[in-house]
Amino acid sequence: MTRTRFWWIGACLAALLLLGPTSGWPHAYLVKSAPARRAVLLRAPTRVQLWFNERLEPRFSRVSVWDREGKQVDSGDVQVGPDELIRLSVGVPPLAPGTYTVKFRVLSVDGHVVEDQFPFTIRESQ
Amino acid sequence: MTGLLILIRFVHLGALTLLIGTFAFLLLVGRPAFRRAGATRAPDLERFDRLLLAVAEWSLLTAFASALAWLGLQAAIASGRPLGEALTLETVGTVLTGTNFGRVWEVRLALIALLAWFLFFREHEQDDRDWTAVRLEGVLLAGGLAVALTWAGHAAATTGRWRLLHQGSDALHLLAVGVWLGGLCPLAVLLRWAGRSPDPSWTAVAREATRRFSLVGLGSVAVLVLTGLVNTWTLVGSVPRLVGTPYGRLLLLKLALLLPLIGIAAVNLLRLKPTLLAHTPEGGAGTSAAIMRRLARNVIAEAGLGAAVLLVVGALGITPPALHAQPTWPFAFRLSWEVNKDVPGVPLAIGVGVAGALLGAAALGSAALSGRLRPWAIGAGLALWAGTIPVPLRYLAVDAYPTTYLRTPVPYNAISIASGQHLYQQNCAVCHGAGGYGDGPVLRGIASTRPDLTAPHTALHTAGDLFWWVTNGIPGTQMPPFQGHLTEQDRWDLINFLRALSAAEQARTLTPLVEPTPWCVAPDFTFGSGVGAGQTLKDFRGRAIIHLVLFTLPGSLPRLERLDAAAPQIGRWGARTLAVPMRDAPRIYRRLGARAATLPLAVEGSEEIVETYALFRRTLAAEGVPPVPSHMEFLVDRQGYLRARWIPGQDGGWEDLSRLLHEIGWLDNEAPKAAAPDEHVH
Repeated sequence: MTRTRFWWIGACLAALLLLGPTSGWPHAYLVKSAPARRAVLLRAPTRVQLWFNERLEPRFSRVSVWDREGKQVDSGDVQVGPDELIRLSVGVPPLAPGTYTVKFRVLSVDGHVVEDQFPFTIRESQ
Repeated sequence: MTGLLILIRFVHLGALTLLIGTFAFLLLVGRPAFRRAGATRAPDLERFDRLLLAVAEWSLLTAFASALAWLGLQAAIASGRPLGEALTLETVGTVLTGTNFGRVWEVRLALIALLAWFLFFREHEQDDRDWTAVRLEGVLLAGGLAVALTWAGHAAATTGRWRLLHQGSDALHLLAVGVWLGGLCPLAVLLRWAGRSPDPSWTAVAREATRRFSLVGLGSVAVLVLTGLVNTWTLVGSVPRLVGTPYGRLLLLKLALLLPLIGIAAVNLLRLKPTLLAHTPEGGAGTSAAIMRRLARNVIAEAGLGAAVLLVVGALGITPPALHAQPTWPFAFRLSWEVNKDVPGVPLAIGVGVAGALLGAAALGSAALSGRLRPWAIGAGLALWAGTIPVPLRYLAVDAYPTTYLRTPVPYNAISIASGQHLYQQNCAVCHGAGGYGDGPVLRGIASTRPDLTAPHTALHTAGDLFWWVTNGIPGTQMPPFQGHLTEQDRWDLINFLRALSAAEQARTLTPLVEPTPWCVAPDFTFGSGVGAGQTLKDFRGRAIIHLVLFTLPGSLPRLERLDAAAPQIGRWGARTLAVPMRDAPRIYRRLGARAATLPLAVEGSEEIVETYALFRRTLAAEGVPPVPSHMEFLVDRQGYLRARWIPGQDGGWEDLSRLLHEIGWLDNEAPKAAAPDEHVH
């Protein structure tokens, strides 16, 4: 009787060790983006892409693009990956010259949320 | 929401602490103590056991309820929706099945279920082995619950080699808290019961329990101190972050609560315990009873302080670790060996301070160890300290500001440096001069000290010091405050530009021959060409040597064609050429025509790359700041350091491609020499 119960416990604690976090990461922070933070572009991008230092949780990661008037201009097809789970991206239609703001909100593995935004500019073509 | 989360964490931690504490107390202290007193106290042991198991059951229910509440709050945090909207099956389910936090919670809920099964459906124990088994199961499962909790906390977010150490020490820390703090309540109950009865056998129980618990407590506190130091080191890591961030200050508050807690424990251990053990059971039961009551009171006070500590811990867990926060330095000075190491008299002053501190400690230690009040020893010790410790401090102190220890939040990259350069020309050049030598038109007539911004200043003051001066000005000088005029980002851009300017001044020594020691960090940049967007210089770290070419058409065309033809040879040494147009970037494809297809061009981002790297045109041959050349080439090693430069017309240049290949080969064979550069100045 006692013995079977200890088997149970052993199994549970072993599962605990196996299911423990396979790797630890700090908060997801933005490593780089295209367009870069504050970039001035010659040509309008077709997608806005963000690379993070850790894998993202697709259900709880969002990115959007806004114009100067505060109107959302992205296509809404937010995507994590598919090739690398550290990449978050959203498509944008052909944008007119001007300054835009990229806003993102991602959930990092220790359960904390990271939110930030940055601008980029598309220059008037010469 | 934050307050609620702190409260829930506090309740949950308290329940876990009690859970571990009751089981551990029964096994290690309670039963052996009652057994020592013989068969007369057997019914009391049963009563005590029943009471503690009831406490454990309630603690388990509390832990379960608070775990569920915590999960609900996490769903709200993750989804960014208000609590009411987030508590749908779908959102909570996604958190539970699809996030790291949720996976940890699945395991913990399973452990709670298993422990509930053992506790609520236990049969009557036949013998000692059964009795021990149930309580041991309790300790193991409750311990597992605590260990698993550390996987959803800050420790889970530690990277690299230290992760296992940090998680292990975090888990040990929680277990020790459970055994010690959680054992205080059962101990208080036992002492109260014993204090009420004049029976000497009760005194014997209390004695044995006190003796055993003090051993358990000492062991736990030792573990707590060690693991606490490890955790502090991994999550805080520096004095400025300890005194200057919310996390660090909460930690100090926790320590301030721990000091009286340890003090009471020490009184119990060093004063009350020996007196209790010295009393013979026959005589003076009354005094024994009084001591037991005093002990019980102290233990309850300890438990209360322990609860306060847990509340602080509840808040600590949801505060960003100091390591990721920007510290605000609270003092008007800091101690710096770096700044003062060449000042005469400093080594002597430090010697005096260290010797005085040691002698003072020896005097105070002798007074403490003798166990008696020795006013002359204490006085001498304190006087020695007061007289000698300030001596080195006065020598090492330099002015400091609230921003002194800020890390630059804006990375050291081309966009920031180029923006800083524009701001500099608009706001600073009028005094500091176009080249940064302090010879601007305003200051030229003033014969006082001229602030040379190109001097290697990083050793003498931090980026945070510069930020303070740019923000608030320098009283008593011509330097005005820019707080209202420039945004915070602008001011950091300026500081990044100043760093690049100072590096460029020292990089006068760069030649076409590779500099043997890497010291000059190549500013990072993002570039895009016809093929891909969003590549950065940093992406090539550890992968390739970068041969950076800044060119102007039509003059550079023959050179570009030769480089294009030599690309296979350059690639053989693990290097890549990157060509950046210095002018006319939007039309560069049209002007290059078919050749553009094979050239590795950086068109997007070229403007700020050129502005940044053109700073590095200062040479030993030319006085001051020479005009911008129409063509420049650099070599950046695999760690991200600028190692060689060729400007056409320089001796021993790379017109001869074999020379360029020779230098690339040299870099290719070199073992990594320096740590990868940090993009943030400290």
